[in-house]
Amino acid sequence: MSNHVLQSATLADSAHEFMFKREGLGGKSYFTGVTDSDDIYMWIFWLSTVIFIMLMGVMLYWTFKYRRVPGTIAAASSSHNMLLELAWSIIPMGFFAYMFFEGFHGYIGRLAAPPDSIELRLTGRKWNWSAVYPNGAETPEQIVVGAVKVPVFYVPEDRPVKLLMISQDVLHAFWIPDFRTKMDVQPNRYTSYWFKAARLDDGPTKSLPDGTRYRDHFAFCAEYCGDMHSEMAAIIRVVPDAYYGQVISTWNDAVEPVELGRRKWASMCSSCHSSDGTKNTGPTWKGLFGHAVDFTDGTSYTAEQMGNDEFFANYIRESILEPQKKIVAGFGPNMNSFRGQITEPQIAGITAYIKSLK
Amino acid sequence: MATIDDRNAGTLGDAAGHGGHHDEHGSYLQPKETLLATIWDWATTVDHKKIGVMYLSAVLMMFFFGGVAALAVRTELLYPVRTVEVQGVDAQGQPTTTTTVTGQWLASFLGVKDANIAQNNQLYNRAFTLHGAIMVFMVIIPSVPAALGNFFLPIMIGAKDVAFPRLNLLSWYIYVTGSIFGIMSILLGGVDTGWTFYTPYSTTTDADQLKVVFMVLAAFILGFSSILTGLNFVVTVHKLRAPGMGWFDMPLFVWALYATSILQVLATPVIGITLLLLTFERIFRVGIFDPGLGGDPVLFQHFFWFYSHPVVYVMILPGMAIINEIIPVHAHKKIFGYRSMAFASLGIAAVSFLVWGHHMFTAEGELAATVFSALTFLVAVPTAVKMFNWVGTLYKGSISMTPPMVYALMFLFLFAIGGLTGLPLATLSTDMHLHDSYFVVAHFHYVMMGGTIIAFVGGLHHWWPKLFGKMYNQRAAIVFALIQFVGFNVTFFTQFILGTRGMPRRYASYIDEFQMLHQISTVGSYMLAVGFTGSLAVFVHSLLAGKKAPQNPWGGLTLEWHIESPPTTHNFHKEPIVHHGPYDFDTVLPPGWDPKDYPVPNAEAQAKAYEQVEHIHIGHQGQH
Repeated sequence: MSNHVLQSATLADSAHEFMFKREGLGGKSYFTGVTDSDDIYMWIFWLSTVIFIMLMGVMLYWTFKYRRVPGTIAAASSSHNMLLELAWSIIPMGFFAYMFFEGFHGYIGRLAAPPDSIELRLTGRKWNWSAVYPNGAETPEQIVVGAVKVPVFYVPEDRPVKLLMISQDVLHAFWIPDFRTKMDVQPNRYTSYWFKAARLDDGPTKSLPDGTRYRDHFAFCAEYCGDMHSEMAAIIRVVPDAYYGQVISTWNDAVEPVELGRRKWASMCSSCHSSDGTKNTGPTWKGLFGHAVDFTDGTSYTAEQMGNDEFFANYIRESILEPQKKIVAGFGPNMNSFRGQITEPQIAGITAYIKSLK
Repeated sequence: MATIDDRNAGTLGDAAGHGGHHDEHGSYLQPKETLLATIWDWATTVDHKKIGVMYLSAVLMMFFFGGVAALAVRTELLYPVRTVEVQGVDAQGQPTTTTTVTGQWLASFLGVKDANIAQNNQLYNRAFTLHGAIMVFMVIIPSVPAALGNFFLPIMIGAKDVAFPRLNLLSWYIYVTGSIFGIMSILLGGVDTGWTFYTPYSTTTDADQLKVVFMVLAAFILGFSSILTGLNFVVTVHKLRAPGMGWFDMPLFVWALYATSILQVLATPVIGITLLLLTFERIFRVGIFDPGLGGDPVLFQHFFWFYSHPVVYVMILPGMAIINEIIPVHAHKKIFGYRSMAFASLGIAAVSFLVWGHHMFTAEGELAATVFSALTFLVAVPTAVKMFNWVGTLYKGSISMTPPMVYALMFLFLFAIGGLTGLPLATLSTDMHLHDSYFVVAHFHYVMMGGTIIAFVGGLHHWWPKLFGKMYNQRAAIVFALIQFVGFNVTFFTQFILGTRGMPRRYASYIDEFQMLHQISTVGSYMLAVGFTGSLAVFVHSLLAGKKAPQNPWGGLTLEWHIESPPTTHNFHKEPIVHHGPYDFDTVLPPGWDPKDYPVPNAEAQAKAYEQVEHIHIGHQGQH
C-alpha cells in the first residue's frame, strides 16, 4: 500500500518536473511566501488528464464496439437522459468553483505585498529594463543572454521584494518564470507584484569570484513591444541578504563622469546604440565626437561643429530629451524622450562617455 | 413520420416568380456558352451556392498564404539568434576577430544583406502578424459561416436562397475589398503590430507610413461583410424555413449559425468603432489610446476584446456545428441531447459577451480580474455539455469510419485538450505564470485549429460530394487526415511544455534550453504542411477524375441529402414539406437508400420504409 502511494507520488513529481524543468534549476517554483500556484496547476492537470482519458477511452471503445457492419440492425437507444445531462452540467461547476477560489487566493496573495518589502522601481522601455533600488542606486552589471547584454538585478534571498513598474513607451510585461508571476507594464500607471525568492539553501547555487553564493533567474518581457521584444530580458540574481546590502551601497558610490555615463549607457541605451561601431536600431556612439553627421531632413552638422565641446554637449542633450528633432540619416524615428528619466549630471556623464569612445 | 415530401405540389414551384431560365433544372455548376459569360455569371450571381463556393476558394487561398507565414515563423525558430565571434586572419597575416550574427533565417531567405538583429526580428514580427491577421480575419471567421454556411443553410431549411440574395453578393464583394486592403498592406512591406493591434505600439510603429492604416481598414471592412452575412442568416432562419420545420426541427448546424450570426451582428460594430478610433489616433494624433497624447492603452484592450472574445465563439460555434452534423450522420444515430445542444449554443453565445476581460488578467485591476475569472468558468459548462453529448451520440450507433468521421473524432480529441487547457488560464494564480506564454499559443491553436479548422476540413469532406457532385478517394483522405493529426500534436503539444517552462510568445529568438522543443515543434509544422497539401491533392483529383457522387453518399437525413449532387440552381424542384426531424435515424430511411442496406432500428418504421420505397418505385403520389 505505502509502496503504491510512493510510486504515484513519484509519477506526480516527475510529471511536474518535466513540465516546469529549467536548466540547472529543476522544475520547482522558487517563489515562496504565498500559496504555490503549482499545486493548483497540478490539481487541474491531473483532473484534466483523468477526464480526458475517460472521454477518449469511451469514445474509442464505442467507435470500435458499435462499428458499422453492413446489413445488421443497430439497436434503438435513447437520445436524451435528463438525469445524466443535469449531472454532467452541475458536477463540473463544483470543480470550477474550487479552481476559481484557489486561483483567486494565489492571485491576491501575489499582489498584496507585505509592508516590509524592499521596493524596486522598475522601468521598461524599448528594449531594456532598468531598476532603481531604495537607496537610489542602479545596477552597473550586465551579462550576455542570447545575442545581447542584459542587466543583472540583485535581490536578497528570503525577503519580500516588491516591483513597482512603469513603462516609458509601449506596453511591456515583466515575467519571472521561476517565480510563476508576471504583470503588464503600462506607460500611464504603475503596476506591481511582489515575490520572496527561495533561500539559497533550498536549491542549486553558483558562486561569484569572491565566493558569494548566488542563484540566477531569467526575467522576460512578455507583452509584444516591437523589434527587440525577444531580446528584452533581465537576470534576477538572488544573493545572501548581507551581500545584497553591501553591493547596492557600492553602486551608489560617487564615480567619474565617464563611468557614470557608461553605467547609464549599459542600463538604458545599449540595446539601440552600440559602443563598438556596430550598426543597431540607433547610430553607434563610437567616433560620434568630432565627425560630421547627416540628418533625415537634409541638414547636417560638420565635423568642426561636432568637435566643439559645447555644441556637441547641446546636441547630445537635445537628442536625449527631444529625440524626434534630429534623426540621423539611415535610421527611423524609434526613440522616445528620456525627460524625467535622467538627471543633468547623468546627461553630462553620457556626453563624457561618448567622447571617450574614439 | 415519413420522409420529406418533395413530390407534393408546392406553393413556391419553379414557375413562380423567376422568369424561365433554361438551366434551372440543371446543376448550379453548369457553365454558360462561353468562358466570359460563365465568369460574368459567377461574378454577378445571387445564387447562395455560387457565392458560397467563391468564399470557399477565397478562404482556401488565404489559408494557404497564412500557412506559408506560419511555416516561415516556425523555420525562423529552428535556431535562436546569436552573436558569434569568428577568429580569422587578415591580409597581412594578423589574427582578427569579427562578430557575426547567426540564426537569422528570414533575413537570409529574403536576401536582406548584413541584417542586424532588429531587422531580422522585424521580419519575424511581420510574419507572425501576417499569419495571425490572415488566419483570424480572412480564414477562420468567414470559413464556416460564409463558405459552408452560405451553401448549406438555405438548403437545410428548405429554402431557395437566403433572404436577401443581393445583399449576400454585396457581402462577398466587401470581403474581397477588405482582402485587397490587407494585400496592399502586405505589398507595402507588411505590418508588425500583431493581429491584436495593441496600442500604443500600433499607433506609433511605422509612423511615417500608411500600411498599418491599410491593415486596420482591412479588418474594419471585413467586419461589414460579417455583419451583413449575419443579418442575412438571422432573417433567413426566421422567415424562410420550409413548412413543417419548427425551431426544434432545425438541424443543429442551423442553430449554431443562428447563434453565430447574432454574435456577429451585435459584436462586430464594436470592433468597427475601435479600429476607426485607432485610425483617427494614428492619422490625426487624437489622444484616445496613446498615453503620450492623453489616452489609455487598456481602454483599447477592453474595446478590442469586447468584440474579439465573442468572435472566438463566432469561430468555434460553427466548427462545433459541423461536428453536430457529421457525428449523427456517420454514426447513423440520433444526436444525444438535441435541445441541450441547441441551448448550449445560445448559452455560449450569451456568456461570451461577459468574459472579454480574461484576456487582460495581467493588465486590469484586481476586481475586474476576479469577476472575469468567475464568469469565464461559466462558459466552460455548456462547452463541457457539448463534449459529453458528442461522445454520448456514439453509444449504440452504427459507426462508419469515413473521412468526415475521422475528422470528427480528431476534433473531439483536439478540442478536449483545447478546452481542458483553458482551465489553468481561467484560474488567476496559474494564469499569472501562463499568460502571454507558449501555453496560450498552444491552447488557442488546439481550439481554433484543432477545433475550427479541423471541423471545417471535416465538413468539407462531409459535404464535398454535395458541393461538386464528385466523390474523392476516401482511403487517401484518411491517410492525410492522420498525418495532420500527428503533425498537429507534434507541433502544438510541445508548445504547452515550452509555455510552462517559461517561453514567452511572439519571440523571434529564445534562450538555448528551449531549442530542442522548438525544433520538434517546427518538424511538426512541416508534417502539417504535408497533410494539408495531401488533402488538397485529394480534392483536386476528385474534381478532375472523381466518380459521380450519389444523392446521399453517407445516409444523412437533413434536407441537403434529399436533392441532387450537385444541387440544381433552385435547390428543390418543389417546395419541400418537412415531416421528420434532422436526426431521426431510428425511424426514417435515409433518402436514396435501400432498406436492405440501411436497417432502420424501429421494426414498424422498417416496414414503413419498405412500403415507402415501393411507392417511389411505382410513382405513387402524396399519401404520407
